[in-house]
Amino acid sequence: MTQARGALDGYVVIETAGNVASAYCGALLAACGAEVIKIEPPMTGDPVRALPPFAKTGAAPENGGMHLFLNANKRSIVLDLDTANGHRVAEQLVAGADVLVEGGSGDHEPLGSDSADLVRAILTWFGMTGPRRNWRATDAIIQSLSGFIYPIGPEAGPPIIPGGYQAQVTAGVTAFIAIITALIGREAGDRGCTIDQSVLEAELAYTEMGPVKHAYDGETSARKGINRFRPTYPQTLYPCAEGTWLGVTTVTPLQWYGACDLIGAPDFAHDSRLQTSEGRNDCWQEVDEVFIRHLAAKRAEEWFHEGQARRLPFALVPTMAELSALDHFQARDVFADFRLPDGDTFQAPAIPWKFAATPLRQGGAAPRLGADTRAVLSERLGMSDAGIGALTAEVSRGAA
Amino acid sequence: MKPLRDIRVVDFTMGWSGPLATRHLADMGAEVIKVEACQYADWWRGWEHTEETLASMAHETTAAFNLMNRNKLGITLDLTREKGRALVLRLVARADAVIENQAQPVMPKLGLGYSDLVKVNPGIVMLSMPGFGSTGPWAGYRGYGSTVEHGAGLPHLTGEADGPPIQTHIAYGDACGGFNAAAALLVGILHRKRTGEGQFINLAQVECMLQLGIHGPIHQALAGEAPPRTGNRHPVHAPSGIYACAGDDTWLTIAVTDDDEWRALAGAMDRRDLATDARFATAAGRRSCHDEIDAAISDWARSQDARSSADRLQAAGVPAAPVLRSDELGDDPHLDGRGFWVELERAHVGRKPHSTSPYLIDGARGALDWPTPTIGEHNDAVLGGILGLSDAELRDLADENIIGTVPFVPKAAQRG
Repeated sequence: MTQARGALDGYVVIETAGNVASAYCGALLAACGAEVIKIEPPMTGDPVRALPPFAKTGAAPENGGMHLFLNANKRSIVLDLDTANGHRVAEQLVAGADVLVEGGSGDHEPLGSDSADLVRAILTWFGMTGPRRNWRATDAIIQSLSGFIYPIGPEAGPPIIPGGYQAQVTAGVTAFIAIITALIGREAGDRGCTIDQSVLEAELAYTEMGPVKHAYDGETSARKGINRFRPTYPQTLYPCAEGTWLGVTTVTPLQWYGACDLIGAPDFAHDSRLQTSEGRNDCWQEVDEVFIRHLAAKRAEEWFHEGQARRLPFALVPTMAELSALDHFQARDVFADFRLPDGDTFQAPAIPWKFAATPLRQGGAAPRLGADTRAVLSERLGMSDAGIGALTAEVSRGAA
Repeated sequence: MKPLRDIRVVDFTMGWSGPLATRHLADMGAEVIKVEACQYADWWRGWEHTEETLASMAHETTAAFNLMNRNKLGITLDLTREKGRALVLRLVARADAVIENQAQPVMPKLGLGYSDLVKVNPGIVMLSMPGFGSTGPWAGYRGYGSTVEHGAGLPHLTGEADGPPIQTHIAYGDACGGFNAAAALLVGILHRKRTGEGQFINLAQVECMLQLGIHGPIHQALAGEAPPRTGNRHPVHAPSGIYACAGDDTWLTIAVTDDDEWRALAGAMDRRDLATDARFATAAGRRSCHDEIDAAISDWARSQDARSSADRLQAAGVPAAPVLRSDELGDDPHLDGRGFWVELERAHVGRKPHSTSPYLIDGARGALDWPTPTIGEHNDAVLGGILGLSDAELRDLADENIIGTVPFVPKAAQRG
């Protein structure tokens, strides 16, 4: 039986060095079966190789955990895009590609502007135009400007920065949406195009309702305290036995009555002040006190299953240590094996879409820096060993 | 610019997640037929309809619903009756894709599960997006956007070492599930375009949330522990923080990603002494003296205006930003400069702002061709235009309440 192919089988993607956003976009394309060739600068490679955490085996630039995840199933070639020869060879590769993902790292001349059928996605923090196009950013900067951070944290402040690369991962998916859209258009006869994807506008998927609601009824964003969600309450996290945490959300009256009944406080539910989320928000201290007192009797996992058995939208809030061991995630193959530099593997959550006919590549190995330079230039450009040798010597001299 | 101009999608989604997914498609030219029922309207029109809410047209005036469903065709069909089901199957037979985000038993119970749809359209692409997935021990578990954020452990990645896990303040999982669904559905549509093959696509929203916090499980796997919880500090950027500015509840975020930016920050604060202090020359050094650096920035920021100081810091090459409230974004100069907001006239609410597609293609955003349909607005256009039903047939359907243009008031809410 032959292995079913990925949906993007046959597409060739060139990805330049960038950040988590562009690398995640490339990771989605690779997972769906495209051949993704990553052009990296000499010596250090893509900046995502330098992001922590680092594997205990191997050394820079091969042992970065984000690199091992984001670059799995891609090929790596080293080209210095700041040199005329490096740029020329990159242009030749791009000319034979379907998609170019530009991560905005470095100052090289644009690639692919002469390729009429190329789908070119340029990912930047703020976009290619607009007054802030040259601003510098991080996930925290973007989340500050998008209105995402403001309501998180204690009432008196400061607002709290969410951990990790959440804005960049979001932008990687959004750029992927635009790329697939453009490829569908190409099937219908469109030529190539340039996609201008800013991380800020991707992040606005979460907060775009803020100004719209404001225009409708003057509503403003507010920070009411850690885990004090407005307008729904409880929509919060409660501590349970043995330091475990439970997520509790009660939107409908049935859920409010059901939650109080389950924790052993059925009478509390009937308090006339607590019949709406608004009322419960006003009395949040009493609500929290009753829930925390009752929930302390059991671990969150028990409450989670008992709640869900009564159709209550409760959630166990698993720790990072617990996640990969959860039987549900194991049964669904949520975690896949990613290769470590020494050939051993570690487990991380794979791209989560389940296609019945065109399965994803899940897990896999990320390339060593420049591992595929020779093979790619020979296969795709028909370059001779001598020509490749001269080019790599130039790259080495430039990097030295 | 309508790359999806020959794609037709039958859309059974409601609320935020699914409608956000199909908005991506509709904005790029797909014909998205949004299916509601008078007996079962999109819950984002309102959770409970009464004679009062109908009189005030509340079901047509919610900001979130009207933002999410523009550029779509809106029809009503009572799918619990055979006539309604048969009509929607005739649409499915002429469609490229179907998407739904109902509670898990709903579609199969209506006779509209994937196995039912392939009988009328073997090449159909169908996507379902339950909270916890449709297989595994938690299959069928229920969740909102918050529930799947909690269930992915995401709150453990935010906050102080000795503080509680911290959730965000949106229904995070809904939006995240929405754009993941758009991405996966488009992949299925592209594959169908290239090969004629349809398929069932399933995603669990909780698993989409795991990707947002991907550094967490990776850190756990490689370091044997979760990423350290360090409040507003950062494993690489130093200093990193949010600092109080002049005025009530105004804040400035600063994230220094390299040594040049640090020296630029010290210069902009008029603190050359910090720039030349050898202890602060490297990120590792600054991290070990973060308290001292935070005190210096806080002293300086206290008298600063958040917006203008961010402008000055950025001009000096320092990543900095004011902490904006989402309601302030409507007149944001950068978003204005990129044409992000467009106003659209809609029945019952007048001209209201819309965010547009979060990317430009050849310099253009998806056009806003028409506003969110009122309930059942396109019954005639779709059932008459696409399926060829006669006016008499449409009248009969209306008489039987298979189609309609007013949500039903539940019996319990009717005045006796």
